[in-house]
Amino acid sequence: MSQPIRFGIMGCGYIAQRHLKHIIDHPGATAVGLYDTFNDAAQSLENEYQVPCYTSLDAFLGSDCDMVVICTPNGTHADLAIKAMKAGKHVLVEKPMATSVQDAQKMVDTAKELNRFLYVVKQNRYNPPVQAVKKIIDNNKLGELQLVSLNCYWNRNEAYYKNSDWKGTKKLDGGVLYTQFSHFIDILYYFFGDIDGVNGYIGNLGHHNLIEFEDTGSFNFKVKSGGVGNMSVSTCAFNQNMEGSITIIADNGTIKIGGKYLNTIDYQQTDGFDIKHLPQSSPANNYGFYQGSMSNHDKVIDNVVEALNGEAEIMTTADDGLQVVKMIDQFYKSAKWIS
Amino acid sequence: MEKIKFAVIGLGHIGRRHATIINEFPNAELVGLMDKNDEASKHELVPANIPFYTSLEQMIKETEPDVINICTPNGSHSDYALDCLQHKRHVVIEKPMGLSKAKAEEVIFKALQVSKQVFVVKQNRYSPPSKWLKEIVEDEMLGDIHMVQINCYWNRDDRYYKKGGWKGNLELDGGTLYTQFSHFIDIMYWVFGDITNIKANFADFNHQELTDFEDSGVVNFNFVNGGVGCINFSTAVWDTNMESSITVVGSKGSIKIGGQYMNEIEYCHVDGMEKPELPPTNPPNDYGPFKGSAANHHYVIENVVNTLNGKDTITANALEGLKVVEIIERIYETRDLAEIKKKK
Repeated sequence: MSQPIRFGIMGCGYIAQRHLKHIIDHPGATAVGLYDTFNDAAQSLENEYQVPCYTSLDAFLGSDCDMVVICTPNGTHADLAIKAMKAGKHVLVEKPMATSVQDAQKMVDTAKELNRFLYVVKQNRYNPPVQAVKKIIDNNKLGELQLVSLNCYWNRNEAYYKNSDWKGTKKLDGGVLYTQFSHFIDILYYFFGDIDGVNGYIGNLGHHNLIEFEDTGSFNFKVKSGGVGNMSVSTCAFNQNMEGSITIIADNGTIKIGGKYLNTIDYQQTDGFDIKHLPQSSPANNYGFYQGSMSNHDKVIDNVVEALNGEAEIMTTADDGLQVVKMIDQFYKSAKWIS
Repeated sequence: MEKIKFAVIGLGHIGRRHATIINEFPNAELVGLMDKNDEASKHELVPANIPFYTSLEQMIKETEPDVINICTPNGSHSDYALDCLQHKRHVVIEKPMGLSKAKAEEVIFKALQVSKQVFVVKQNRYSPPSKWLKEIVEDEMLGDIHMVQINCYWNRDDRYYKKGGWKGNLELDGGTLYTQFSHFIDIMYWVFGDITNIKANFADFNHQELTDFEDSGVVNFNFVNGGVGCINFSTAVWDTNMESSITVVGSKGSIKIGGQYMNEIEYCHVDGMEKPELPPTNPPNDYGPFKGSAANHHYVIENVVNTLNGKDTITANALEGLKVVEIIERIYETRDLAEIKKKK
């Protein structure tokens, strides 16, 4: 194997630590620096993992790393990614890539112009049921799509928003479609491509005075390659996550990937291509008082190292990330606000 | 209690079911049957030795029923109801009550004019999970209602839509929301009230040769009482029914009632309440390869007998029947059949 890839991490919150552990554990990777504007956050990671931390952006970007992982609040992703690429780094950015189409486009343009790799973390693509369904779609077994339905009923309570200085803000968080549900929209795009004809309603029904945007939305749309769709999301589910699922009705079969975060096959009725013997799904990211998506960050780091070494294709290109931001933008622009 | 005299018109699958249940029901007497098609009376499941007619007028005149159960094709429900009311008979109308709000209004107007009752068949309201949902929402156990989602993913293919039958015909059938899914819209209206701001996408995937209308749709709306809602439906599901479900996200609890015909509680996480053990739901109407909604027609007949004896009130009254028709009509106003049925 070639020289280990030297990683730096920006933002030292919960997800950063997860990346850091996998980078340290990976034989083809090494962690060379951390950056956070809050000294405490960076310092505690430095103490635990003996990786130097920076509170100065210039110093961090001046350090010797090949790839920067961006784990800062959503609204800062674009600016930091562009600065990192301008400093000669490749970039792996946590989801969502950006909180506006314009920002995401700028990131893609910068990557192309400077010939940098720009990757987006979409770890749900690695979920075993997702991979299995992707395979039968690509093999044309399912036939034409008819109806696809995404349901995401999660719980994000007062403690979740009060414990964060950026979650719930329009500027840094962006909205539930960016922060909670972009994974699901990514899977929709991964399976079936782009959409149009979106109608929908969004509203803040249960998080008054806590967040600056919606907590619930329901949308219908057309899939450009054929079929109709619905997406219904909420962070109001009582007390715990209820469901995170995608139901696919197609010519030759019906499949529902469900569980709370696309981790199980809940239903299948197919013309002879039932999915069997799935590997065990990884557990969800556990944030103490709430649970996030399935944790596959080890596979993300694997893929990035292999891609940089020219040994594999990247799972999520920046173009895919941009498409997902465009879809989120379409959902928001088409939705009517209800109070 | 007085014995109530029933007649049944339309002797298809559901008409035969009405006739059979009435025939065996205490305090009910099946006095007459009518179908425009003479052959209909010869089916083995039609109760024997009941006077059969091909003329409604003649049947009413000779058998003097108190109540007439209308089980004809959807498109003729309201016209038959008007005829029966004109003859001063109570009517039980199979769902849907009519295929337009205007027609349903005519029926209600006529019923008021002649002081006769209109019962609308909404047998799913009798299913234990539906009754449970109605109760917990009325008791505000779920708190504020934020999101209600209805999924109806069924299979109705060429085994169901037969050449020469009325199903699939726009004037007689009306569309999948009327024929297959009006029960679920009724449950939604019954529990959560009226809806507004309807937006939808419809499509036809594999019924180009079989029906005049959509086989799938995704519909979004708001509830007048607050909250967001959607109905996703399809009759294009491969080979077999997948589910009929309702999911509710409220400030104090989330629940999902699912199964093939909304027959079981799949998820129940509610503040201060355990998932209840409900009595089993009756099996669905069995149409050979097809399964319909829960078969609860004996409750319908019981309600008619008791109400006409002054011992109960109507489970689903004419105005509720009208509202469901009106909601479906408003959903269909956004449907462009020419576009949907365009050849792929």
